[in-house]
Amino acid sequence: MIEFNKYTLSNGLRVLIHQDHTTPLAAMNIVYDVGARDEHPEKTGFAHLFEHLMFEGSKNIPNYDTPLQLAGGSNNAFTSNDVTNYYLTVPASNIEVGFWLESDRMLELAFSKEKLDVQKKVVSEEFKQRYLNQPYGDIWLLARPLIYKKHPYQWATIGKDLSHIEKATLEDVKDFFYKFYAPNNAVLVISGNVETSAILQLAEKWFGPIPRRNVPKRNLPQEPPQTEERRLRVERDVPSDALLMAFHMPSRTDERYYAFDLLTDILSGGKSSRLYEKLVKEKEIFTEIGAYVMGSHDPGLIIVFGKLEKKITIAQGEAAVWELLEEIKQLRIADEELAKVKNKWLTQNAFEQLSVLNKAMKLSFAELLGDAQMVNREPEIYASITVEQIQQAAAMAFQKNNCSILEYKSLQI
Amino acid sequence: MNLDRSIPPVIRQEFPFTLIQPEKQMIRGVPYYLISGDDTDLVRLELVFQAGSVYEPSALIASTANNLLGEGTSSHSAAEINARLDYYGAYIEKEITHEHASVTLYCLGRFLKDVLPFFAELVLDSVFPDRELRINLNNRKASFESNLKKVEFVCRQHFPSLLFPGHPYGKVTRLEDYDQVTQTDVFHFYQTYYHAAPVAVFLSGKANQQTFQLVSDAFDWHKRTIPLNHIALPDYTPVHKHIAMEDTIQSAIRIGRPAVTQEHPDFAIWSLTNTILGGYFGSRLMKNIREEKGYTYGIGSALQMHSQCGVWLIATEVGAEYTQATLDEINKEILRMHHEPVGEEEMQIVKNYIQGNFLKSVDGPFAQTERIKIIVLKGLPEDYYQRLIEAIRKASADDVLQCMHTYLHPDQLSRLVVGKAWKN
Repeated sequence: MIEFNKYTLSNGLRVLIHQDHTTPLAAMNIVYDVGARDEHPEKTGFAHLFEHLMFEGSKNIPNYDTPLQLAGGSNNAFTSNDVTNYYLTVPASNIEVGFWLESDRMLELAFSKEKLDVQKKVVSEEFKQRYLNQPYGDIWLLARPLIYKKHPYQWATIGKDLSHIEKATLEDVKDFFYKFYAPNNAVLVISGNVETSAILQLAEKWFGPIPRRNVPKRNLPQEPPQTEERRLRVERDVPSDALLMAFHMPSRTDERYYAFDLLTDILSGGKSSRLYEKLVKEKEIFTEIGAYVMGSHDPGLIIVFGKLEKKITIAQGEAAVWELLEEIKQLRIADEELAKVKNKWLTQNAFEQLSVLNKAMKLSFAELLGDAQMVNREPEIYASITVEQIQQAAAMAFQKNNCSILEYKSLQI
Repeated sequence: MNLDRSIPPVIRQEFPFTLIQPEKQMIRGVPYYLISGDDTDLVRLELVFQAGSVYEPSALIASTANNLLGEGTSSHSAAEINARLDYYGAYIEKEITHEHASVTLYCLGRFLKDVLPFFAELVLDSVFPDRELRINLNNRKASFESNLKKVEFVCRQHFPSLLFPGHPYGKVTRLEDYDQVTQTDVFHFYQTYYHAAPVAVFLSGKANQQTFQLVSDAFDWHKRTIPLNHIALPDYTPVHKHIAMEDTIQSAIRIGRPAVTQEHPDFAIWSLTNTILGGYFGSRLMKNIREEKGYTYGIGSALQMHSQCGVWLIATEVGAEYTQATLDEINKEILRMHHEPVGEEEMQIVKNYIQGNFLKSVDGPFAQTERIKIIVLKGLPEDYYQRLIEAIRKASADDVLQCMHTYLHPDQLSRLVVGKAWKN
């Protein structure tokens, strides 16, 4: 149970406060309702490039990091296809420094061409380090456009390719800020060794005066139902073949989401899971394999990804996965197996509540999705999921015409 | 109210912390430590064995023994053990360093009594079936082979061999080593080093005296003392090396040298010096090489500790075309710290950052356990961290200069670049 109080400031900023007096720390998390899906198809990678620029100084504060470090704090941020999230931790008595810093950069950034140029280079190096100079690094650059034909999930947060980042102008960046960075497009959560009333006053003091902005209503092209199997084959200089299979599923806010989540735990949660037990240990077809849900805000995906044993072909690997997926549709899942994945979820949920920062993030994302109370309702929801619901989820997802397959072939075999 | 946003709020510069005093009990020669914390439903049980890689007769024996714990015992198959552990939502983490190997159980407190018998069985009675061994080695080999395509991995793997040639600390694993591991060697290693009982047991989280009893009853150790394997360190001579990987677009760089360990009087000041140069986001290397030049996504420096000595190093991955420029800038930043005392403001920022970060690193029973573990395993005084933080608080810019002059002249540093050949 994460207890919290929620307030909405007159400018539309939602403020959530969770008190935890067992820690000397406080965490602040701000999630902005903008991600890579909100980018123009010819200007991809912007939400993420912008996240970098948020650390390059704001209207009244030339350097974001220095005062926070002086206060004993540390911070970071990340961008996903759905959101851009900023967070910091600080000794609780210095939490006001967080308010000062975060409110100033919500108010107005100090844009300059020099800073933009440096961050374009940094992001280019990040692109190379994560996606290009790694074995299997380009898998998501290849898979997204295969899986999504209309929805902007078809590009990765880093962008479609380096040229989009290289072409970014100061004008583009300014437009992006005023379009999406607004109190009425964000959720602020403070958790830790704080007093709710004092925090609310600080929120009013620092964030209250920031004007509401006109944030365009999101109107993204939705992905039409897939009607036939899709397949892409590539060859790369990697030591083993790899196989990625993606299946469309409902969004994070859909009530069916939970059954899909437990379905992937049955497939892939732990060493007794079906994929590992059957395909790695029993049949020795894959050297590693896993499955997981991408709980995205718009309809998401189940991903199965594995690397193949050298003497096995990709086709054999794929056939073995299908066999296993058919089995989960057709043979009743044992009650004990369901109890197992529910217990696993309980452990994981307890892990996620160990730090004040994690708790702040959980509340932020749930609130952005509609209701922070969901974090406290979820234990009950997971407990209520039945074998039938999970098998319905499997029957819905695991169809050939709902599947995109990436065959990632090694040039060395 | 008119708000002047250019004036920061008052910053409090006191960062008091408390380390829990763990409850210690010696049971059949094994020290048990209890660090309870009621704010979580999870319990964590870590057994630390003197079974690190310095004790292995040949490559990969220590890591394989650690990795395969519980993948088959004399009464249960790997699948049966994994099914029971998974059923209770339990999670096992295995870790190996040069000196120690540990196996850690996490589970909900209410399931501990159900999980313990299986956990004890995997620790006390593993048999390392041939088939499990073969699959494990095969799959780890595949992952290793993939890692050999990464400049960062190759650089991390080879760098210690520049500092400690011929010593276990400098050993480099090769792909063919995975084909040489035998069941006999692994089982013998396990019997020698795991059956000797752990050097320490740490129980933390949702645990009390009763839990403590439950845990100590589950293990029937027969304590044996194993002599430390301290092979004399080779004399250090700085080396520069390049490992060619031509089809890469970024190069990995490591620059560093052997360093003092936590017990040494200069450790505190070296930590501070390290942080200023490359130990946090606002460090000089980050500011220059990422935030001004944009050569890299990240650059940092760190102190790593082994029992006989430490390693200090700078690590980064840079666009291949920036290799020489990066090496030059690193050199410049090091020399600047030799010639100019660090200003008062920067000293204060770094000292506060270190203290705040320390506070974060001791937040909660599991984080506290990590610190207590270091004190116990290294035999450091109980108030070690209080003294360390105090020494850092008191350090002056002259101390930093002194540290640079004693340890960190560019001529004393070894360098490894992995990637394309580059122009000087």
